[in-house]
Amino acid sequence: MTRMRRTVQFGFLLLVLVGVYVLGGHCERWCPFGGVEALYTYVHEGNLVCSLGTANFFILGGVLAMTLLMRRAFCGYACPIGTLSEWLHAAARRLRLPEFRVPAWLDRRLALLKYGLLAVILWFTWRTGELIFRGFDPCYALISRHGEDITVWTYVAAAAVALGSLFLMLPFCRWLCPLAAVLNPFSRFALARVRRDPDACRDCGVCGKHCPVGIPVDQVVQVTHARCIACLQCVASCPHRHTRPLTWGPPRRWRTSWPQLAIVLTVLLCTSAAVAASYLFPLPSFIKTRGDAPPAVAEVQLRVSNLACRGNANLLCYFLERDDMFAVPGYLKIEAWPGPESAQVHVTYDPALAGENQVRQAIVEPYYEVAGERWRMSPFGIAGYDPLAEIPAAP
Amino acid sequence: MRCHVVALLLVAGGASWVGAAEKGTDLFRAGESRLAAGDLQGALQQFGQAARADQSNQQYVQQYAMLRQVLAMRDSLPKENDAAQWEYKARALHAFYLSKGLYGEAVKIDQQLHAKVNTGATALLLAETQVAMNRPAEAAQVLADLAAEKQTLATRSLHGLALARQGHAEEAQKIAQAIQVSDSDGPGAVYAAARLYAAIGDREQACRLLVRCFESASPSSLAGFKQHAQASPEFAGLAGDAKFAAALQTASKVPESACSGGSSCATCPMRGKCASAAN
Repeated sequence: MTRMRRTVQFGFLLLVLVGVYVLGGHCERWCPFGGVEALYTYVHEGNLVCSLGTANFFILGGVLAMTLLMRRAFCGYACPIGTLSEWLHAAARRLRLPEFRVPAWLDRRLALLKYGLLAVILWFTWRTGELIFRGFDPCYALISRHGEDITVWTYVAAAAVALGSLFLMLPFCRWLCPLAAVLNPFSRFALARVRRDPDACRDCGVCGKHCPVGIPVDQVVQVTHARCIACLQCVASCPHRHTRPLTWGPPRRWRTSWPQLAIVLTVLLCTSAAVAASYLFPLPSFIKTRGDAPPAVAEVQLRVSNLACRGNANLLCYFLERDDMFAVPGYLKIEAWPGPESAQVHVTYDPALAGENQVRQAIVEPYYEVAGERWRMSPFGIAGYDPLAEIPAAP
Repeated sequence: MRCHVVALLLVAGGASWVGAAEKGTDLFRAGESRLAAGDLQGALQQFGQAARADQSNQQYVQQYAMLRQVLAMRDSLPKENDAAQWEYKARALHAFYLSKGLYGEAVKIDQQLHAKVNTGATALLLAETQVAMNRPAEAAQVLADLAAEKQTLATRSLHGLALARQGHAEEAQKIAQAIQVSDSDGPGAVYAAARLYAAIGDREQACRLLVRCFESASPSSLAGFKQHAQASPEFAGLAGDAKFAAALQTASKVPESACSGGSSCATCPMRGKCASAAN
């Protein structure tokens, strides 16, 4: 059991490290907590917090689905911080370093810290539109390649988590991880759980001692605790497991139990489905609405060059909202999918006041900006639109 | 044999690409020459042909599109009945003419604009063009005629500068002593004051204000200020001055995104509302 989980953990950690350090990928886009941070700004402003993408929503959805089925299996099988923390703890045991066990009463109180931390992070992130937590995020130290916004505190936090993991079991995951605080309400009502058969159990208490998140497995009939990470350490450590006193599966009335492979498959399926969905059903990462919608609207779909990021999408809005001879009167809604080569852009307008060609002209024509007393050139080009149409070819 | 054909095709392709780029450059230069001579229609044709010849160069299309708009504005200006639109077009034409060194065209527009709108800002536009045309007496007259309530730091500074250019050093000194640069003054006004101090020989104050101007100018407008300072006759006397050289190295302290012409997204005030990462 342990080997299967370690293999999956190793696979996910390798995926992250190869993605970041070999392929140079932007790993923040695949962080489920990024989906939580970006949600408010996206719903309210149609825009995303810096560095995040719509993929964060899909991966968050995948992790929530995974949690509703298999508790916090994401933490136990996929999270790189959980993996490293757990492995450091195991390495420290081999080196015979002392291990500290936190009393249950203190553990319960410390576990509340993550809810406070979640509230603080979300408040500041949603209020400022900045990833406030980034400068203190141990995961960011791992995936940023010493990138933008990184501070010495990021490394201090990462070092503190690493140091703590040597002497305590999963200190960050149990007490401080804000994603754990998000997942816990879902995990509380998850379908699968560890079930203890009191008739077969010898009440030796070994399972409870081996639980990495401190659940007293030996004292309950069903483990419905939100903090269960589905590691099945309790099942694996049971000295009488041949009589199956502990099993993993849905509520007992379903009269069936599931192997650990079910957890692994669920983790892989939910993750890959989220990744596939993010490519199959791309959400616009930039939405801006101006004015009230008239009774009838028209939409023009454009392929725009040099629209590589959402900052450029703001510039596109600047040109579309111009007030000169190329102004586009009427209702405007812009949905954009910025991309490195060219971007898809949908512009909604009032057909009674403007036409498709006006929209194209507004985007590509230079604009005299009164406030700056300067002419601003549009960096954009539109596929199929030739601004030189009426000019004869060069001789 | 096959290798030779491929090599020939590659050479031919490369040569045609280089040819297109060269042709585009020649046509564009010809357009710039026509523009400098005041032949806007001819320049438009040349820019359009340059853009056709070398479609990879976006500057050609941009210059063509801007000139096309300028011509449309110039033609429609006399018939424009909307006062706001008229002023918008006149200001746009002024900015274009001044940037291309077409001072004769610029001054005509500026005179119409000042006669029609008559504010401190329009007086400044007109006087600035007149100073650029080396007609400081006319500039000084325009600014002297300006009502006291319409005067600003920029108009007073330019007035002093115009007087200094005429050799009225004492009057220029008086204006320089009277002006006060406050925290709310923008980089344009601070720059005008720096020019005045340079014109009356107060190098220390000129360099100090120049640094302040550059620090408060947005990154996308900084190069324009520095170019002007390097070409301006008032600062010519400071060319060998270490403080002036240091002032020219001053970086902007204004955050501006890369997409607006700034240095990077890391300092963009909109950063939290968009993203530096492509999605």
